[in-house]
Amino acid sequence: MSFELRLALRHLIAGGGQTLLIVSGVAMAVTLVVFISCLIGGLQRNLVDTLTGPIAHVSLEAPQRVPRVPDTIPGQPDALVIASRQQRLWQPSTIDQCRCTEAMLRTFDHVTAVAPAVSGQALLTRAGTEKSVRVVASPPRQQDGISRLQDDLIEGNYLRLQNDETVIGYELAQELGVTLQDRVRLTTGAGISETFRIAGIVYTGSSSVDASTVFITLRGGQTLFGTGTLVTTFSVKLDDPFRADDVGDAMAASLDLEVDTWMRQNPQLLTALRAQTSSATMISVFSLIASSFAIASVLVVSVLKRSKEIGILKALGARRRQVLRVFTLEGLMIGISGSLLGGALGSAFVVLIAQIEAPSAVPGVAPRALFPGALIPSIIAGSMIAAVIATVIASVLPARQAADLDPVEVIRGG
Amino acid sequence: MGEEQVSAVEAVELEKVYYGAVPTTVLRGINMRVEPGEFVSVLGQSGSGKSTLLNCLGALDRPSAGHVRVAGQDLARLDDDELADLRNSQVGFIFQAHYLQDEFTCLENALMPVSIRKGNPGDEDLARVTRLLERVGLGHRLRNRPPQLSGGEQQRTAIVRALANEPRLVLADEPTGNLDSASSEQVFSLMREINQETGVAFIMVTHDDRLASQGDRILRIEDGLLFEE
Ligand SMILES: Nc1ncnc2c1ncn2[C@@H]1O[C@H](COP(=O)(O)OP(=O)(O)O)[C@@H](O)[C@H]1O
Ligand SMILES: [Mg+2]
Repeated sequence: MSFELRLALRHLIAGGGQTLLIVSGVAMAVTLVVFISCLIGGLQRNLVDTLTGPIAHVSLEAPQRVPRVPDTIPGQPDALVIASRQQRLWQPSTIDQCRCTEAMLRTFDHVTAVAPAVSGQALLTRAGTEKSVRVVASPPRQQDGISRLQDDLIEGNYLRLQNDETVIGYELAQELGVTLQDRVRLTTGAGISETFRIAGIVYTGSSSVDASTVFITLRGGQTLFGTGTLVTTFSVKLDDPFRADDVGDAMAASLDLEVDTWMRQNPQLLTALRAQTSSATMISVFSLIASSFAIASVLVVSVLKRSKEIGILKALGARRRQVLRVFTLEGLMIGISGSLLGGALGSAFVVLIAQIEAPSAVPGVAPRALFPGALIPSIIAGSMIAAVIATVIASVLPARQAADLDPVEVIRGG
Repeated sequence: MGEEQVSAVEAVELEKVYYGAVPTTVLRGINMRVEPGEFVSVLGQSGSGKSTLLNCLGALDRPSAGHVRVAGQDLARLDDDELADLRNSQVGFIFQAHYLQDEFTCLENALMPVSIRKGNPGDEDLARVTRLLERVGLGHRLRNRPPQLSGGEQQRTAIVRALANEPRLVLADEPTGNLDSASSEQVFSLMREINQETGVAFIMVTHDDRLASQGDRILRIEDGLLFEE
């Protein structure tokens, strides 16, 4: 162990209560930073998770058909032309070579699941009540990789869905007053109508899904929308929701499909998340700055108290750099111990507060954490490193003050 | 020039001016030379510049004009780090106050110059410094901390600290100023004995004419000039 390190350690030990105080100062700042950042980070993850959990991160559709102007079709009565156009417009655009496209989509980075689907609007009727819904028709095993439906089921089953069965959202079921095994009718804009038996009721937490989406098999959808063996949509899930725009752009560049992402559909949400993150960062930065000032002032006082000792060290031949190193090392050790303590305390608080549960409004759904903070390693490590750096910077001024002491003056003064 | 002929310390036309609101010339052209093995006493009125002279001779302060050579090295040619190294290896300081560090034991305090130079004292250093502590009668105090020592014991520790790196020159600025007469006598005798045993040159500032007369030579500062008695 170097002489400087030994000296710094002795100083800290001799400091006793004062050392404890200053270490707890750092620890408190780190606790605050870790707690706030992890809490906000966790809340954001939870929010994005709830929002994007049941939906695709990226979805790809066939380019919209441009309606032809009736005038350009000669020799036909206008009414007939318009009628046939309208009929065709009700039919979704389809994607050819669906297997080939699916395989290609899987080759993109970050893609964890791809599901082909026929999706479109339909009218759901049940005993005189009718409701406009979004129909997602997809192979259950693949769609489950996108929507986690099997896990979110309150009752019934999704993975073994038959072609004449459907899984519907909890709020929709409440509104229509239907339960398992009840039959509902779906009617498309093209006038095709089919009856489905309710095989499952799902609660995803996302009201757009829970209140107005019904899931059926791909075959069921192909019949309902008359697409034959073709599909209208590919849903893609990613390992990181925030890559949706990047991956979407890459897909758009190499495939002739229209790409939409959850990020583009929710610009306000993203702005709000960013604002939240920057306020958390600001709070963190300011608390670290505040603690640095406190540390600097305590160290300045301790240098003043030790000026005789520093003077004699220099008289005995200590170089300027050696004295500088002693007090910077003190800052470093204070920073490291305070950061470790603060990191542990902050993490403990995050874990503790995550235990508080919000009672679930939906029967059969487990209660969720009221403050779903997450122990995000990058945030914890980052705060600790930032605090160590801040403490070392705070110790530079007192260290320079010590290194610049003139031994002659110290000795004359004593 | 052989090793034997090099003076322990030498001042040529040494001047020191403090540039305050009114510039004060404290030393005005001092010429002196102390050979290895000499014990020189410095007398003078309070404020006459004795400490200033010692600080300049010991590379702690830079003269305003003139030259100081310690062990043949012209201090004017050295930068601050080199001056620090020279103080560490060639010069030992003893002050009126002991300036020992309370967090360290008597032995650790005495080893301070070695630690500054090497980081960790080696076995040889440990043995040498322990022997010195035994020599000044502190063999039983090695693990004690300064507050547990008497004034005389503290100052004897400071003497060993000054000798720890085997310097050529020890500068003692009123080393007995804080001690009672019995302890003064003991501290002085130890310095004188070590001077005679090891050949380290000593320059001691004192107010005590009786102690001063027991050295080899007496120098007196008056009006910024040095007179041999
Ligand atoms: N930094 C300084 N600035 C101005 N004057 C000083 C300074 N240091 C010492 N002096 C003056 O120099 C003179 C000599 O001081 P000093 O060497 O301590 O005397 P002594 O040790 O003989 O009592 C004193 O008059 C003192 O006031
Ligand atoms: Mg003096």
